Amino acid sequence: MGEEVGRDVRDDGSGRDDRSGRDDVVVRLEGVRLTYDEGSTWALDDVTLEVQAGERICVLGANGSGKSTLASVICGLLAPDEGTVELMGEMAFDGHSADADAYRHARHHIGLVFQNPDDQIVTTVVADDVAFGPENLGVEPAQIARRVDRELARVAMGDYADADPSRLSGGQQQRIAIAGALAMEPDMLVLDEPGALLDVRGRRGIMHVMDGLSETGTTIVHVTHFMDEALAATRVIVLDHGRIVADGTPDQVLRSPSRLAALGLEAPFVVRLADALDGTGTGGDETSGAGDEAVPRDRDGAYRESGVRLDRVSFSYADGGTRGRALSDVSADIPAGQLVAICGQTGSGKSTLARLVCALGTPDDGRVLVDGIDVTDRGRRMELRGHVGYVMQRPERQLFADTVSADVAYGPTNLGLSDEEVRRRVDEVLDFLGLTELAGRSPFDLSGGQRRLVALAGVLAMGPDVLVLDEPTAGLDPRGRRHLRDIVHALHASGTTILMVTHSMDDVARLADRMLVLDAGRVVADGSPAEVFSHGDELQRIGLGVPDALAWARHLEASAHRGGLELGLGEPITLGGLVAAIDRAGCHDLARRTLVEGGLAWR
Amino acid sequence: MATHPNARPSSHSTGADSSGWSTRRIATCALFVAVAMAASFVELPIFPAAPYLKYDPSGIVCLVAGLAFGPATGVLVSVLSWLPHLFLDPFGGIMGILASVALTVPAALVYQRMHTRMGAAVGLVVGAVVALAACIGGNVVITPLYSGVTVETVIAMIVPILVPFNLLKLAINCVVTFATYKGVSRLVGE
Amino acid sequence: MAIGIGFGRYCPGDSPIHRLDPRCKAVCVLALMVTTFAITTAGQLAIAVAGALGLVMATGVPLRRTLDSVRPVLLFILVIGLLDLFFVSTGETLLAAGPVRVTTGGVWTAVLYTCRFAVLVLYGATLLLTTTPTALTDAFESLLSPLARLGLHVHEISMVLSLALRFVPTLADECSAIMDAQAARGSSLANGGPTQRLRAFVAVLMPMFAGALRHASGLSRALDARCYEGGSGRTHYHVLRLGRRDAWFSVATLAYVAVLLALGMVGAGV
Ligand SMILES: Nc1ncnc2c1ncn2[C@@H]1O[C@H](COP(=O)(O)OP(=O)(O)OP(=O)(O)O)[C@@H](O)[C@H]1O
Ligand SMILES: Nc1ncnc2c1ncn2[C@@H]1O[C@H](COP(=O)(O)OP(=O)(O)OP(=O)(O)O)[C@@H](O)[C@H]1O
Ligand SMILES: [Mg+2]
Ligand SMILES: [Mg+2]
Repeated sequence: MGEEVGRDVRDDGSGRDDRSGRDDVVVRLEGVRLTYDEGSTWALDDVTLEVQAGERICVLGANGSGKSTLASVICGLLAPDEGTVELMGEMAFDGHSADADAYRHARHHIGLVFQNPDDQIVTTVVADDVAFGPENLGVEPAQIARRVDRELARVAMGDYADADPSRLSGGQQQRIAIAGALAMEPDMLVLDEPGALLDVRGRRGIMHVMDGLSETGTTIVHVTHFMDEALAATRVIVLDHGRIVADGTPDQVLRSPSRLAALGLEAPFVVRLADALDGTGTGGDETSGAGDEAVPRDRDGAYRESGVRLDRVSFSYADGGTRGRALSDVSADIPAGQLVAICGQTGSGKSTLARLVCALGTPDDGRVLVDGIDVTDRGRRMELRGHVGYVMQRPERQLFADTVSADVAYGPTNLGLSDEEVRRRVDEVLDFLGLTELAGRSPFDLSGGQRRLVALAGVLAMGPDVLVLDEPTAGLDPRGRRHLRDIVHALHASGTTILMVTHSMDDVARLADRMLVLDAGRVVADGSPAEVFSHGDELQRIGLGVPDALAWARHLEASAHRGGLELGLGEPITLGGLVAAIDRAGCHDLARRTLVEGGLAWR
Repeated sequence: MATHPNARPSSHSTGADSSGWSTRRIATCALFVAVAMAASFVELPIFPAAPYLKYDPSGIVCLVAGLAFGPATGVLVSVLSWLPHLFLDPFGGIMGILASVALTVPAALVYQRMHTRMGAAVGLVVGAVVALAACIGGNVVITPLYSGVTVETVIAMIVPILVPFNLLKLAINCVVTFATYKGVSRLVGE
Repeated sequence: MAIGIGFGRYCPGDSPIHRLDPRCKAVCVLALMVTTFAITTAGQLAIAVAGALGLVMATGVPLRRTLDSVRPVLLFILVIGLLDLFFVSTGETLLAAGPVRVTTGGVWTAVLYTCRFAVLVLYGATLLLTTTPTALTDAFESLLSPLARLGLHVHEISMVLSLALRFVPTLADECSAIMDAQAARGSSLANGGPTQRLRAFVAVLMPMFAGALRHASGLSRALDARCYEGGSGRTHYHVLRLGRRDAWFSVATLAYVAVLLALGMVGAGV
């Protein structure tokens, strides 16, 4: 990228000069409190914070801890109830009233990018969207054009200036949103979980853009649930119930796994590894196998062909147009009780496969059999619905009823079960998921994680033998992810056949019996996770990674190799496996030393 | 969770949206128009006697917008959601606007005065009556414009086709609206 | 049940029609559309069909794409044509089978009204296919701006329209995802008794409304963050400017309209 990329190149008169002479604090909050419910709970509680120009701050915290609220206050979108807010050197909220001019002025210098790329894109042409901010600022048309080109080039989306954003991938949309914020030439960029809904490659693209910005001196405040992203920051802040409970360098904050776990977070991989090597930690990434009591269901006992069979399945969308087939020639035989992870980059056909298994589409070619029922068999459709459960991407969006129990009862009622049976199933499932207390509440009043569980309950209440989960953990905080993993593990233990679409290689390593990798609608790998991950390069090529444990084992082997040592760690894919392999190879001390020398950012 | 459907309480206002429409109002109207537009492209022939009379659920969206946000928003949603149709299917577009406005405005006006479940029911019935009259009137005027069918023929169709079809359509709209509007107003945080 | 959002969707291109000022294009196309009502004779019809096809060619949009985008209306037009064929009974009888009678008058009426409607729709489609929703709403705002003096919030309304057009495909995708999810829970709009169908309807609509409100709250945050503060003081990336091309297009439109009307008067006079 050329010299015009630098932050100091400003093509209009507005800029820092009018504020020269003041100190370099861009945001100063003092004793800020904010409530959404007239004081019964505080979304922000006594928050005092200073952000220096040029800092790269990472904000961590569990779901509902107040991160987004803090981001809105910092961006000048929300005025607090108490405390003072100073933005860009001006007092915007003095404890009693908001200064509209100061707020407006501050907003002109602060950019915000948040979780859902869909909501941030306001037009149907990429270039027009990037131009929207500068238009609002009253920038001259010629300059707008220059800024649009510059920012699109910066986020590597120059070729898409005329594209329709709603047809781009989530990662591309998010980069457009960033370009839109940057086109306003902000002094500070606030990113509120920009990668939460993206795949690995999309997230990496955004981190790359952030690295570039931070090098050129833009102040960055980054809210995230991913600890490895926090490692890139100069300063990490942890929120809990609206309070700042930790504030320091990544090294200081992320070193204590037990403390982080108490806050609903998860320590970075190397910290957990160090703990496990010292024998102090439990390892922390093995699923606890929570409750082996399964969802009880009636089984007729009679023999039937069970599991899922895909036989040379092909499928294309009617309006898929030039993109070709969404699935071609996919075959797999999934015996009852297996947990299969379906992986692949965005658009590789994972959700399409999931839909076909659930009889939500019929294959153009080939056959799909679920428990021996052909999905094209309309006569047995209702019977099939009782066999296979489908949890869509972000399933909390399917909730509709007035109460949690009514929503969960919807599926079983449609199956034509008696009222009594429906009630029994609802109670059982709510109990299994720990939702009994919420039965009478409106699903719309719950937190995001709770709503996801309610949606899952609605599917489980149908008593499926085969469960299809489309990215069940996306967008949850580490605690929520862990809870969901435990549930999946328990269902697996109870004999449910599970097909799980996921982007998380660590989840695959921890949970799956088998892994099916798709690329451009074809199966490119099929086998146990250990087998598939041993071909790491191939996975890299199609945009997938390997689990942390395996990556670190390779890292350790490489550094030992430089010292003339061959360790032979094998292919450990979980933390427990890695520790065992290290014990077996007798290289405990070497591993420790490598950990200490490498620091947190070993990748 | 990241996005609460509840409105940002005015007490947290930064004081900038005092003039004109707030961004929240613009965004809410826009999304309701978008839902209504998407719904207006759904076409279900529910009446075998006249396959060209299609049912689309957009009327429900306009009604819910009218009940939850008042008559002005109801009109805005009704008119804007049919606007693109004016270029591709002008007569369908005009009829769509006419039918939606005639249904939404009376219902929203009554509900505004009588903010109870009863009020909503009365409003829906009044709206349905007005809309039925408007649809029949509209058909008598407009059908001869785009086809060789004469006014007399259309009038002859009123009892066997137009009245039953429109009644069926309005009944669906009103019943579904009655079942959803309360939930939506709760989400809006009334 | 897919939602036909392909209906009149912008097709990127660089034809002279694409580059017209959207205001000029919209007004001319409206004029072209209105004058189709004046068509009553075969000569007029021929000119109108030629004019519409000429305009479609000039857009450079593949003919298939144009026809695809108007397919739902074409079916409707066909139905109307058939109605005319059987309901209009003037002139000589060509065919009689029981109560059904096809006459010369019926055939002519069917041809006339079908073609008239098709021409009308093709004109409309060229506008939608060659103009981005943003340009369209810019034109809408600019053309209606005199009404602002009467107290109508023209800027806000066009902003609403433009944002709505942006969200239609997103919501359509969400709608089919929700319908899938509910279908997997055994919900069906097509089967079952009235209460069951009503529940199925609500099970799709409620999540759609909740989704709309969720998007609305995100969108309003995005508008605030990008300093949207109403229409005053805003500049435009694409400045609307009438040029020579627009003048020529307007003249051509006027000439077409004049010829069509003149032919109509000649026809009436004869
Ligand atoms: N409703 C649809 N209409 C047309 N094409 C579609 C539709 N849904 C998906 N596609 C296309 O089919 C292909 C496979 O999509 P699919 O949603 O199965 O991918 P995925 O692997 O689930 O991706 P992601 O990780 O983003 O969820 C993509 O090219 C996508 O653009
Ligand atoms: N508009 C709102 N109305 C009412 N309550 C709200 C609103 N926004 C947030 N809250 C509540 O305030 C608290 C903090 O919410 P916030 O969205 O800031 O959390 P978060 O840390 O960003 O969570 P997440 O990780 O899920 O994005 C939560 O309890 C939430 O339910
Ligand atoms: Mg998917
Ligand atoms: Mg948040």
